[in-house]
Amino acid sequence: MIRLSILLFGIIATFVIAMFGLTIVPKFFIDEGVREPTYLTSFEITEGHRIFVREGCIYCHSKQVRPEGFGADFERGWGRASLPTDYRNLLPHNLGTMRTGPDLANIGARQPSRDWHYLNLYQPRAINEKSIMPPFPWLFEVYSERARPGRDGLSLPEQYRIPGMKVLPADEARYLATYLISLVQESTGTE
Amino acid sequence: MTDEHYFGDRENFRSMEELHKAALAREEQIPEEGNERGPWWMYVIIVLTLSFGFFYMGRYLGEISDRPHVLFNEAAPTEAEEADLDLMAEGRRVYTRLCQSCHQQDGSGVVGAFPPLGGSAWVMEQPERPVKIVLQGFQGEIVRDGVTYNSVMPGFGQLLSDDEVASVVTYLRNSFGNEASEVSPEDVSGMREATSDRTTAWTEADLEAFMER
Amino acid sequence: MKKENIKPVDPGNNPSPHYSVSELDRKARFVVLFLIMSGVFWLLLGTLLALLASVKMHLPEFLGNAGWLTFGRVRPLHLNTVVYGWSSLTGAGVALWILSRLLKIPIQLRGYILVAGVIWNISLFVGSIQILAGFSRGIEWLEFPVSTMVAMVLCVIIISASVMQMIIMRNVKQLYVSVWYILAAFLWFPLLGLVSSLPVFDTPTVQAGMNWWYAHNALGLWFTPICLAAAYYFIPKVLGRPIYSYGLSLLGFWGLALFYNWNGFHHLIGSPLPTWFVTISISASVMMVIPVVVVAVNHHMTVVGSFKAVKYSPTLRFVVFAAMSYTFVSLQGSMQSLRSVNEVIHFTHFVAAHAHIGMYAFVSMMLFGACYYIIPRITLREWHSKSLIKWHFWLTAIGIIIYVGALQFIGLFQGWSMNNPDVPFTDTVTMTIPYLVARSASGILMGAGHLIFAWLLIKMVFRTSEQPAGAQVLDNIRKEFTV
Repeated sequence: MIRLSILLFGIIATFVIAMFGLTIVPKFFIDEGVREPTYLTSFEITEGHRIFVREGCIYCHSKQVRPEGFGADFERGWGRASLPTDYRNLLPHNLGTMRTGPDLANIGARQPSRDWHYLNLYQPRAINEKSIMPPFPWLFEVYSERARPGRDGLSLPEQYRIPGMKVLPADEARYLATYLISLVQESTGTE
Repeated sequence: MTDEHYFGDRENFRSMEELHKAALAREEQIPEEGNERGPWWMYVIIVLTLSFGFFYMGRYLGEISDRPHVLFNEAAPTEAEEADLDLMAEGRRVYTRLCQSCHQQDGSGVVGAFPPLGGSAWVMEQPERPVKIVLQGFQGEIVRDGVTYNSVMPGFGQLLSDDEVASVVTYLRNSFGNEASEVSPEDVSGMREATSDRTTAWTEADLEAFMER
Repeated sequence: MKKENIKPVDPGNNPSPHYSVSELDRKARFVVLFLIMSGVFWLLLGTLLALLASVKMHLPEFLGNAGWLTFGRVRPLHLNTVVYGWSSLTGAGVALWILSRLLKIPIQLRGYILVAGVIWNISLFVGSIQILAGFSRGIEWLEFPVSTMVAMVLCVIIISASVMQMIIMRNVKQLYVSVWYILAAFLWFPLLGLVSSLPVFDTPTVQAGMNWWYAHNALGLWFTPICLAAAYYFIPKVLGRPIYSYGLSLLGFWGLALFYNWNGFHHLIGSPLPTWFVTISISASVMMVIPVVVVAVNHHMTVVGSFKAVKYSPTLRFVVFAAMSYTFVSLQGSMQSLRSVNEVIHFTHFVAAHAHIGMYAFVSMMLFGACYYIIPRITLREWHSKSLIKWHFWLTAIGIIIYVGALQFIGLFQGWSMNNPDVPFTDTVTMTIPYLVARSASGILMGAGHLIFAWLLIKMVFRTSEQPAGAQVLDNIRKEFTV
């Protein structure tokens, strides 16, 4: 019985100590610095973040820049080393662990063009024929060329056009593009 | 004992269930554990691992604070090497970072979406046009080689320094088969000054009007 | 001391009867079969999703118009079905059976465990549909919405209650090493699941810390203990040889409990989390060498000299393969956690392959081996075909070796080119494509192995030629509920 008690105590104690060490203590250290700034996060951005999570973008695109001197993130122009304040307190965290595609922490500065994002979301191979990114046509609507005059469809390369039709971004594509363009490292990061 | 031992003589049994019941009845308990000490090298590994682990913790703990990247901030880059700016090398870096996602690595563009840069008259004639397009962006319809393009290119004036704009335009003018003069950061600075009141992207008509002036 | 006493602890005060092995197995039959069979169902579904995700990596237009089958939904669902479906359900079944055998007491609370199993399966179904429909929680390893996660944790708590009751009512004096591991697993996993569902991790970087603390511990504190318990049980059992050293078992167990808990943050090297937490995790990951080497020595010294038994015992073949994978994957993991190595392999396919050595070559192979031993004993029937078992082993073993070989090889080059800013990013993608195709091929091999396994299992459990299964199953259900 004594042995069983030691076993039980050891099992629980090792767990609880590490649990505090890796989840609660970091919370005390980090939270204070993150809560201070007020983030102007519009409806479009939170909605775009939700779609970003829903489509699982994070399984191929990390959203964290490693510091200069550790990997070539800086030299590739992906931005400065990420800070806890870069994430606008949007949950889930989306730091990511894969770079099947390029890092997105600073994509808004690198690629501020809405049209580019629309094209890339609708058909990534229209932009880079070697891309292996999945297309997201369900974020777009296809209209007859004469419908909704005044709004130009995506300027797709010949092989991706649908004859007599034009492709317009639906609300979800607009939100997602707004979110991606909002991913800009605003502060310089040097204190 | 082994599986073979239990089931080797299955022919003698009438049904599988009987066989298994008999096997279960014969199954032996797990034998009592030994109490060997283990080979000496195992202890060497344990001691080495412990020492390395504690050394690592001591050496790289950094500071007890909320700061990330502590180990890398120490080596902050000193910006004293501006003298030798290699326009082509720097331009290539900027191009890969910002331009290549649309105009492609070889400057060929995408037919119907992004116009090619290789062999482009706008890129190679006066440096003003490419510099202005890089600074403020471009929009509206243009026709190149019989193909109509109608995309929006964002301006990078806020993001890029004069050095970087000069480098990337020099790179454009001397890559993909293009050959033209270099552009200096001072030129860019002058052109940035001249168009500082423009906030929207250029259109073909605006750009031509500006060039004629 | 560490001898399993066959007599009851104290015949005077303890009214527990003395059970024979066949009685124990008969009582375990329905519960364990239910858990294993539902686990195998999720294995097949998970394999299908894995193939789909793998093919989509090199044929991005494949089913590209179906929103609910996009890569970003199929891939997390693959992980969740094989982790919480196959490995957890089957692992729980295997653990309960081993415990019943070791403690010489029938599985307790069998009716409740069946109910828990049913709820567990239902919550897996609901969670799967939620992920495909786009309601993923978006945290790696925790994609199921919190409601699903909490439901599953409650199911595990019921099984944990059974585990505790079995240990308290046991008919042996000493607790064998497998029992420590199983007890630890069934205490750690519910705690992990509950803490991960707490709404206090509400800033992104803190949540990232919790995420990887959880994800690494799900492997380290849930699957690893169950599978090590199985290794400690089946190796001496099949060989009829004693475990090499009780002292080393002890050292291995407490080493794991002490160090594995702290490993999580090595997934966050270079991320915006405070440096010193990351350094502590790296140190702990290095320290994991200690329990791993100790357990490896303990297992190796037990098997050494009897390696030929691997030829005729399918259980031992799988178990030895899995135990060797455990040593390999853990030592590799310790190395990967060092900053200089991590700089290269982080963010590449190398890590995906590493995870598959852990969850497949170690955990899944161990569970296959355990099933091959347990199911003939609880069903009192024989596997249909010895050669098909061989096929299963070689298809899955070769499959995972191709998977790991291809992706870790190209992962290194992917990492090196990614750290060379002169290589265009697109090249780091195109260079991997032939190896991604090889991964799909290896997935087909493993999938074929799983189909063989499922077919053997179904043939065995639902075979009607020898005895009327339908009536028997109903009879069993009646018996089970009159505990």
